[in-house]
Amino acid sequence: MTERAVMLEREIGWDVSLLDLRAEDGWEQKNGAWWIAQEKLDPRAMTRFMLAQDARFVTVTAMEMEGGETRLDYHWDLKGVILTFSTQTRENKFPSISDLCPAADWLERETYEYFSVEFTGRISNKQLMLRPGLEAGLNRRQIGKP
Amino acid sequence: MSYRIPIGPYHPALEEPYKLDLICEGETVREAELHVGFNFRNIEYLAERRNYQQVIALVERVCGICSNVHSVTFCLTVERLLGLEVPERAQYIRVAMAELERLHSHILWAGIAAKLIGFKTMFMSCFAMREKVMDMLEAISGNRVNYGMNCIGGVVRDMSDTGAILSMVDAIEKELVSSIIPVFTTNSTVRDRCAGIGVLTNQQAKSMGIVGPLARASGVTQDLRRDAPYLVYDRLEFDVPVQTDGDVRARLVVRALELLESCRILRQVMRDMPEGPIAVSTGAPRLKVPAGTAVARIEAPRGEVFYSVTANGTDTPQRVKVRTPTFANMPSMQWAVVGAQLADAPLIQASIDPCYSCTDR
Repeated sequence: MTERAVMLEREIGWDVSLLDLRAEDGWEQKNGAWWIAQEKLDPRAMTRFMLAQDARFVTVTAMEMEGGETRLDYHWDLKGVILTFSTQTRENKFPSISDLCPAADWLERETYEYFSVEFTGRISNKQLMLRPGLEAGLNRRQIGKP
Repeated sequence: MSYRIPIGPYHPALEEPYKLDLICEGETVREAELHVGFNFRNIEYLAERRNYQQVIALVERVCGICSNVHSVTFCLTVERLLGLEVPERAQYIRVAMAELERLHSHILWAGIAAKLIGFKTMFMSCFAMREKVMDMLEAISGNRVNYGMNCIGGVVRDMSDTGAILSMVDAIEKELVSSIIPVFTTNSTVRDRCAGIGVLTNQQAKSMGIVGPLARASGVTQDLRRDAPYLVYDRLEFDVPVQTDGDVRARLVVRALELLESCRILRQVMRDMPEGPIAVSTGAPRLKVPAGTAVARIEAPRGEVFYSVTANGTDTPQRVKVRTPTFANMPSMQWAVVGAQLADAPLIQASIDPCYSCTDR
């Protein structure tokens, strides 16, 4: 990561050079999207910034990682281009963005049900897909094992 | 005093299960609570236990109306991971299937809307018209719902009788211009029934991230076919109908005009489709996909379908994420019905063109 990118990340919590999408800042264009991996992503700063750019929140893709954490890919549409912020949970928790971005509400509820990711700051995790009595984390491998 | 009216999960207006609790004061809806998940099959989880060829058949079952869209989007995603160049003819065939699917989906919706408006004759006309498209899809693919047209690397069936498709497009367009479009755009009964109800403002549409005709009826101009073109859409000429009123009538108008654009696209596809192979060989079903993650999205009849596929070098995907348009659109129902008359609620929710099979996956 460049000195400039480190400085920006330290000052505002994430890389504001987003719109430049420079490779030296960590952006990579491949497989249908622009990607950036940010282990310490501040999702709320990301959301505020993306909404200010008139970007549309598309979805979040969760994927189980070894060690109990979950990889989270936040996909945004900015003027027809998909920007993906790839990060991971901390103790399988992650700050919610649903109060800033209503489009994230169902997605966070679904991610909780499938991968038991606890999105902190949410008012409730009302059941979405699962019937009452089913345990959250349905798609985590250890639950699927015989 | 407020009271709660539960509607569903066996819905009076739709064939699919979902539950809507309306909290009303008198005849006015003050709040709405949505309950989904009655069709939950966990297709994403099932996809992680099948090889890539089997997943094509599986994801085609996400939706019973836009089934083709799901298999195309999945194939596009995997083709990106493989770095495959799909033959041009196959890309044209995929576009043709997508537009035929849009035609029958929008006509189906027009029929349901007509029924809910109380226009039973139009309902009958729409369903009779839709049969022509379904017959054509059956003639092309051998199937009416799950077409089985796509494989990784192209399509499995050619589209040889372009003349028959053009004749069908002519017949559909003639009926659209003579009956459906005038009824939905100028008929005073339809206008009075639909104008000003179920409004979603442009701001609401953007903040909810809604997609497709629902968004375009609220002044959001995005159509992925034009703004993030895939397959051969960048070679085709078509307009993107947009309305700004955000009400049920605006949704009617957008979908009605989109039908004409689909006819226009189909004509160009039949005219421009080159000769050549329809697929490249991939060695499926023992195909192994190199590790990595790819995404793809398509403008389905209801809006953006988004797939993310993570491969781990084996013949089975590690993760398949499916974001369907109704999943993005349906939460907006909770805003669209607030302030509406109770009697308008069924029409408002139908105007979203919801698909619960898609939503629940």
